[in-house]
Amino acid sequence: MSTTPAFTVPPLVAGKPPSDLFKRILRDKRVVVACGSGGVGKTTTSAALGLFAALAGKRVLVLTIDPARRLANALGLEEFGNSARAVSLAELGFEPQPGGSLSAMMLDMKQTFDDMVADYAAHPGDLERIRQNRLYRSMSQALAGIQEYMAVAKLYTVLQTNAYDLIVLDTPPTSHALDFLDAPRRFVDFLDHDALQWLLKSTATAGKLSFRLLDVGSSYMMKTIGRLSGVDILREIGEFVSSFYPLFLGFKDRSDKIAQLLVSRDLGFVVVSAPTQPQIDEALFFHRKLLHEGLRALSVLVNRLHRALPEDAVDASATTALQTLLGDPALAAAAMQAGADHNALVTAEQVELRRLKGEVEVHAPVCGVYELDEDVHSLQGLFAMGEQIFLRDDR
Amino acid sequence: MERLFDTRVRIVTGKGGVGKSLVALSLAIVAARRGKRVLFLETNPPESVTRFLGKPKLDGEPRLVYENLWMAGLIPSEAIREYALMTLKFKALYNAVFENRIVRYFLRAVPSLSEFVLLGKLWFHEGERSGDAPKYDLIVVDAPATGHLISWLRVPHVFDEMMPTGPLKKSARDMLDMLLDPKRTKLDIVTVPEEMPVNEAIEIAHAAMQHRLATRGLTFINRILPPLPDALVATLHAGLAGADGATQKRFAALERTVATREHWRQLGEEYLQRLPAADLKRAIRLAKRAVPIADEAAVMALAAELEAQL
Repeated sequence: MSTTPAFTVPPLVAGKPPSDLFKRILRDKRVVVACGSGGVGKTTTSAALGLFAALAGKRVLVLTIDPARRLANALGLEEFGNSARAVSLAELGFEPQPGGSLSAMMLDMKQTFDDMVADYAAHPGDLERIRQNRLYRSMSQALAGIQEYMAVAKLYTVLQTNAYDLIVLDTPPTSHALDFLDAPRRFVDFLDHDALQWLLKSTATAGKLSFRLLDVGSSYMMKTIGRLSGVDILREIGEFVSSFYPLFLGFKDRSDKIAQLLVSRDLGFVVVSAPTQPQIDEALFFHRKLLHEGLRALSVLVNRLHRALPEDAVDASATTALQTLLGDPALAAAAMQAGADHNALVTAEQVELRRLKGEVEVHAPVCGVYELDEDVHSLQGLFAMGEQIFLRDDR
Repeated sequence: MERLFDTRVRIVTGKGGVGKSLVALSLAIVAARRGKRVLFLETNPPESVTRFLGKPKLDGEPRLVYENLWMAGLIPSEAIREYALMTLKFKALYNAVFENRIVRYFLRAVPSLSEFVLLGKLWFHEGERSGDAPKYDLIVVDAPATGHLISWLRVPHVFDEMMPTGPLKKSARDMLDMLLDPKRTKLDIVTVPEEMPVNEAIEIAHAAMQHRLATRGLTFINRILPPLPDALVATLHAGLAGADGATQKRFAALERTVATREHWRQLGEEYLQRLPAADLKRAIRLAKRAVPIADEAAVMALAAELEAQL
C-alpha cells in the first residue's frame, strides 16, 4: 500500500547509506511512536528522526504531548502552540530532498478536548451547556487520565489532514505511555458499557436522564451515593452524560479508529532507553507490553553510551607515563581515577546492554547511540545523534 | 536542619529519571535512623524502589521494612474502597452500593476520583494515631513527576470548587488544610545538573506557588560530578601536545574523556545557576556515582551522604 518512491541517499550525507531501521520507517510507516521513561532522550530522538526523514524528502511532523516544552528546546524554537510550526531547515544549513519539510507541534490538551467537543456537538446550545458543566470544566482542565486519549485523538486528526507523510509522536514517560496505549480502549469500553446503555435508554424513554438518576426517593443506591458525594454532583453527572449523548457516538467512532490505528501496519513503536539498570528495566517492561499487545516494536534505542578507553591508557604502566607527561603525581592520579571511573561505567553499560539484547533482539533490533561531546540543543546536534541511528557507517 | 523532620509530610517530586524515588527513600531512611517513625509512600508501586532493595512489592498496607521505617504503595482501587468504607461506616452498605456494577462504572468515570482518594489516603495516614501520639512522625511521599504532580495536587482545589457540600467537599478541605499548612506539608524538589531537569524544577516551584499546591521545602541536586583538579585538563592537553606520536595516540581518548567530563560539569553548574539563588544556596548536593548501580548498598550510601549534610 506504500506509495513512497525508492529511497535515495540525501546529498548531505552521501557516503553513508540509510540504516535498515530508517529504510523500514521511510518505506512502511506513517506514524512512529517514541516511548520510554523520562530523561533518556526520547524527545531528542523523536526530533532527530523527524530531521532525517525530512532530509530524505518526507513531509514530517514531530508531535510532542509532553507537558514540558522539551521539543521546542531541542529544535531551538521559542514556543509551540496546538498548531504545527515549520522548522526552517534551509536557514540552518540543511538541504532536504525535494518535498522534504519538518514541522513541530506541542499538544495543548485542553484545546484538543474543547475542539473535539465542538466538532461533535449537535447544536451550539449543547456546546454551551457542556462548557458550563462543572464536571466538564474540571475534567477538561486537570485530568491526567484523559490526556493520553487526547494525544491519540490529536494524532488521528492530524493524520486525517494528509498533510504529512510521517508523524513522529513523542510520549510522556513510561507509566503514562502505557495509559496512552490503553486510553482508546478504555474509552471504547466506557462507551460500550451496559451501564451507559442503561442510562441512555432511560434518557430516551424518560426524556431526561436526571429523572432516573435523581429519583432518589425510590433508589436506596442513589441515596447512598448522595450521602457520599452530595446530591448535586449526581445531577451534574446526569447532565454531563445526557449533554454528551450526541458526542458519544462520534467519540466512539473515533476511539474505534484510533484503536485500529495503534495496531495498524502504518504505525510502529521505538522504545528509547539509556544504559543504566533502571532504564533498561523500563525498556524491557515496555517492550514486553508491546509484545503482549501485539504492537510493532521497530527498535529499542539505547542512548548515552560511552566508549571504553584503550587498555594501555588505564593500565599500571600508564601511571608512570602520565606522571612524566603531567609532571605532577596528584594530577596523574586524578587522571588515572577519571579513566578508571570511565571504564567502570562502560563495563556496567555493556552489562545492561547485553541484558537488553538477550531478551529483545529476537524480536526487534537494539541500536546503541553514543553520547555526544555536546548537549543536543540544535539541529546540528540532532544530526550528529541521528547519524548514529539512521545512517549506516560502512567505513 | 533537624526541623526538616518536624514537618509531618514531605512530598518529593522532580523530573522523571532524576533519581527522585531513591532520594525520597534516602530521606526516609535518614529520618528513621534518627529515631523518627517514618512511613514511605509510593505513588507508582509497579516501579517500586523495593526492587532495588531486594524486597517484595508493596501493597496498600504499611509494612515495616527497616527499623522505624514502614513502606506502602498508594493504590487507587484499594483507596477508593477504603474511602467509601470510612465514609459509609458499614461494610454491608458498601457492598450493596459499591459492588453494584453500575455504581462502580460511574465511580470510574468520575474524573480525578482516584487521584483524590490517594490524597485522602495520605491525609488518613497523617492523622493516624497510636495512643496519644501520631502513629507516624513523618510521611515521605515518592510523588509523581512534574506534570502529573501538578495535576494531582490541584485535584482537591477542583473538588473544593466543584462540590457545593457533602463529604467529598469536606475531604477536599481537609486535604487542603494539610497540604497548605507549612508545618504539616513541604514539597521537596529533586533535580540534576542538566538543562531539562533544572527547567522542570523551576516549573514545579512556580506551579506550587501559582496553583497553591503546597509550601516549598528543600531542593536536592542529585548526580553532581565531582570536580577534577583545576589544572588537569590544560596540563594534560599541553603535555600531550609536546609528546611523541605514540603517547599522543595512547592518551588521546583519556584526554577527550577528561575534557568532556569537565565540560559537562561546567555546563551543569551553568544550568544550576538558573535556580533561584535562595534555593541554590540551601540545596542539598549529592554526588554522582562512577557506576550508576541502584541496589541496597547504593541507597544506603546515598542516605549516608544526605545525612552528612543535614
